[in-house]
Amino acid sequence: MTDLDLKQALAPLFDDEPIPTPAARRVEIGYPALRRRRTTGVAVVAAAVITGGAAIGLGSLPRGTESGGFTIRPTGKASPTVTADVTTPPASPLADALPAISLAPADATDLTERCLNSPDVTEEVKGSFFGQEGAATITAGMKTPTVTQATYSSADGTMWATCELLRGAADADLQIYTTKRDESGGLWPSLDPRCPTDTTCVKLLQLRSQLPEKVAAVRVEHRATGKGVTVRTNHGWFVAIADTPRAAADEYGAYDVEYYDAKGTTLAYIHGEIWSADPGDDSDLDGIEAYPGLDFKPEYRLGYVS
Amino acid sequence: MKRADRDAAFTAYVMARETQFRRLAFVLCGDWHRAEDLLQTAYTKLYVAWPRIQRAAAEDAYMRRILVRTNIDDSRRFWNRERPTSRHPERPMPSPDLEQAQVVLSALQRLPDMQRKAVTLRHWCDLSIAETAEALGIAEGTVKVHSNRGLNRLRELLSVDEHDHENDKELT
Repeated sequence: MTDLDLKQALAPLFDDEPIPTPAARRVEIGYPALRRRRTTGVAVVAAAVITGGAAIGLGSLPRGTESGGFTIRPTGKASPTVTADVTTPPASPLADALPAISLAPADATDLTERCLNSPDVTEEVKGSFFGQEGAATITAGMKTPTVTQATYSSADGTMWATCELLRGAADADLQIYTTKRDESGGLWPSLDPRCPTDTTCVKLLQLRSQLPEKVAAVRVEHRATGKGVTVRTNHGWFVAIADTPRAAADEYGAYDVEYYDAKGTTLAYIHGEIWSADPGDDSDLDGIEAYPGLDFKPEYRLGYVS
Repeated sequence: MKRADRDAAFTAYVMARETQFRRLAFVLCGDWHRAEDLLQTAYTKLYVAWPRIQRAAAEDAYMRRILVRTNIDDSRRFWNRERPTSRHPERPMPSPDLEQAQVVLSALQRLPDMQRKAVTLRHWCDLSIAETAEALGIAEGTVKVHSNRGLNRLRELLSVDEHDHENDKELT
């Protein structure tokens, strides 16, 4: 089949295509979404000021409330959940943190085997990553009722990978990246719509990446319910997944992400939104380079490998 | 940017690109209603990000990226395993060309997600490998793999469909 074949073959489908939505209507629908984002962004900036004063001005907030859909509170601030009660020290946010690898050995083995049998990755790539002996190291991983996910590092450290297995799925989804190229960005948030078939269907708020060593733990939290998880990092590697309630197709997913150092001090804080109908789109949340206090270095951006 | 300016520029862009992107959405998901939903989602996101995207002159690339990535994840929904058909039983018999086009579209929908996206962008949109890689967020080598595998699989599916069709004719 040539290019011309496919185009010619599909051309008859457009002979009686439906009447398009007027462009003015597209604008009418878009404007409330813009207004919601602006409102949310302004509210969070105000909250940051109230809880201790922002160390940087609005002008230095990367992609501010205009288009980014998120705001960032930079280094050195107390967690917004900290209260004014001076007689009872607040519990460390790391107190309930899961280890970077909280997978049971059997789950880790099962996931790795399924990754090795992933149908969508070539044998060459799998061979170069896992080698003849399947010698890749799990750097972070966790399991929720909905999904099992881990990050891996190749034996020579030149590649990393994520692998996830949805509950009830036969095949795991393996994505391999190089640690040298600069393509995908270092942070990959996703509000995943994939649902089990039963009525307890949830969405997954998940982040996985490698962060600077100074980030000792990461918390992701669904704002509406407060459901979330705190995970420790392993030399910066982490997988954080929060099962969150199902949302309507046109709702935003509002979430908070917080990064802590080893003492539990907040290094950076993101208030973000992801379209529930548009998961996997990393354009709404900047890469780690947007965190003024994390001393971003280009090598933290990680790219795909073919 | 004032709202009036923003709206004028956005409206002009939508009017210029509506057909192109609506057809892309349709080929990606195989259904006009879902294509409309997908396109509206993409336009809404584009509207929100419009000043930044327009400054970078990246409107088309951004739209393609939203369309293919939204569709990628949307198509993973469990309910979507049931394949809807655009044919209504009471509709008049389609022309042979239209019938063949629906067979090809149906075969395209049966490809794995990334293969379908790569084939569509490369061989229906005529994007370069680099442009396809950018839209899908994958490396160029991976585009080649998905595209080649997708075309091969598409040939297989169409070959099977053609064989079945001939058998049906013999039976009748």
